[in-house]
Amino acid sequence: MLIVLSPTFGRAEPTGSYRPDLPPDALTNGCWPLPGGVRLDFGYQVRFDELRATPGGGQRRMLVLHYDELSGAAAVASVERGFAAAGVTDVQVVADDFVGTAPDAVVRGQMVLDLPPSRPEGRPECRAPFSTKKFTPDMDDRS
Amino acid sequence: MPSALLDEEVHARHGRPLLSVPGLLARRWADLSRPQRILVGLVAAVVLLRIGLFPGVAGTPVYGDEAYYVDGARALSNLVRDLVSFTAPDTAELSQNVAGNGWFMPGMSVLLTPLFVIVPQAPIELVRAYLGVASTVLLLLAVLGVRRHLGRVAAGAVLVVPGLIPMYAVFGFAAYGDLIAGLLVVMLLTQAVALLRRTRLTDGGEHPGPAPPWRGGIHLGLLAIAAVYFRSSVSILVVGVLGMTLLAGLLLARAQWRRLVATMLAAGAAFVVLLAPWSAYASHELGGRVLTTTSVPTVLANTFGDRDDVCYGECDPGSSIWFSPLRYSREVARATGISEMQAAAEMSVYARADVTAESYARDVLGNFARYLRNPAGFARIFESPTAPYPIAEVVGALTYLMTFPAFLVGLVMLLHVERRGAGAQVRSLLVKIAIGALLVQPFVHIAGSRYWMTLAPLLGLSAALLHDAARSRGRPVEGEVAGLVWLTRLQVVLVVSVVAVAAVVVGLAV
Repeated sequence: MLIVLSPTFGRAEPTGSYRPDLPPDALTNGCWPLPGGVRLDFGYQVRFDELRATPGGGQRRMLVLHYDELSGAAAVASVERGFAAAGVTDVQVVADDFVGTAPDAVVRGQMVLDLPPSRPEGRPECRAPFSTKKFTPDMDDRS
Repeated sequence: MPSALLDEEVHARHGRPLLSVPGLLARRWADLSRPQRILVGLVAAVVLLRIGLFPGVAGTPVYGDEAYYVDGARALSNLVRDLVSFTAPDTAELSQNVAGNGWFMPGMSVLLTPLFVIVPQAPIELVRAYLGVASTVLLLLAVLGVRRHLGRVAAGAVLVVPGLIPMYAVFGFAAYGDLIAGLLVVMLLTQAVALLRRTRLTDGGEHPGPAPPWRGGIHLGLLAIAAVYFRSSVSILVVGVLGMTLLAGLLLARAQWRRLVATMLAAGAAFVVLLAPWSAYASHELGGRVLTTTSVPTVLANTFGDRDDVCYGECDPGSSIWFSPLRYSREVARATGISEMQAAAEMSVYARADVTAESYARDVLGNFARYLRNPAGFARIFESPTAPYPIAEVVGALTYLMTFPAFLVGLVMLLHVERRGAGAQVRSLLVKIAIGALLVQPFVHIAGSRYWMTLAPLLGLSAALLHDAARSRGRPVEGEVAGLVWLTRLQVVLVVSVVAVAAVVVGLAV
């Protein structure tokens, strides 16, 4: 009887806290795209995206990502082609393949992109660190 | 004669019996034997302890994994609403909250679902009260089974350990599945003991009209799969106990072996049929094969690997050692189209690249320390911010006093070999294999202060079995078939295995 009547009691409201939606990717969320609007044509995971001071008193944007299912050399060549086509010159791209992964492993290595400094961005959707990968020192190290 | 006096009181007025409850209770009490009175007293103590602790934990907000179990119950209650009102279920809500990350099987959520069906916005106090009642009722049901198949002493022992351990009582108000799984394990064990007893009796044809084998088998299978739904880590135990039941049964049954095999096939079938819905649903929602849990690769990486390499380097800061790797594996899945489980498996291999036998052994010992050293670790966590009186200190002190001797009893049980009769041998074997299987956990998982909750009832049972053995001074158990040499040998194999594994681990670690 109670089960039959249960729809009239209202609905329960799960929080979903143990399976949060996956936030949009750092390079496509519209906050800090790559210079020249370059898009990467391979699978990747952005690890962090931060501004670093240079010895000359300026700033550079340091973007670190992991690339999937291709070699570091192929990934670098692809990124450089993209920047060249967009007319972006002030960039450096370095990749290191992981050592000791299986030959058919999906994630293959780490790429560091040394880029011109990014502009400040104040929109609320650009303050989500798990999406932008711009972490602040007050966030606990997970390990 | 106390009962005669009571009789006169009850019938005092107008010759009519006064059906006052206290009067009837007093009369019933007077009819009980001394051991029965002790059991009733222990049951009362178990219930009163929980009533006394409830105000101290009632307002505690959901903590850690409880969030999943409670959310799962809310989503399942909405599914019930949708089914009875012929509405399409909210599949996205179910996927997010029941399948979730595939880490946990939804036994606890199913247990909580009736509450949320009736009270969809149930406040935490009501959730904790419901859990407290459910866990207490299940403890008492388990004790009834123990009394029937293992005797009064064992029932009393389980009422004390874990029934009267304050931390165990507090944990009865928690939505974690560890405690309930442990009670279902006890029910599984008592059913296995009963089955083996029947097997031996039917062997000689002395037992008229035994129950059809499939019924006992389905009963066993249901208890086994229920325990796994509450805590998937007991899968190893379930396989061990059912396997040992079959093996011991074959040694005992002789001519009746077909019957026993049929029973165990029925158990296996019931287990698989009820596991399948979860496996199929979680596999479908998560886009890869899930049998019980998806958590194993990340668990192994965090437990034995280099935590700074779980995400091919450090994972994102700002969340836990569980959620950061999960997010990374989901990002890999999104970028490449593989399942997040496959991504996690590859991450785990990378993080464990430098694991050696020595580092593994050290981590296992560390896990054992975490398993045992702080049995009241959850006392402060479950102390409600609105508690009218503090409970954590008292719970902590009494828990230490009771659990450490109990752990020692469990250790002695693992090393004790029983020869006094086939029944005693079977009980010893089953409890040993169950304790041993639960202690596999520190070999595969970071341990913590709540894992002993699953083990705790087995410690009470062990105390009773050892007490029985000590009191008999080696005399055969009355009315029992004589001990079988193979049942002794099986025990010796288990004891030697335990000692050998312990020696290897300690030898490698130091």
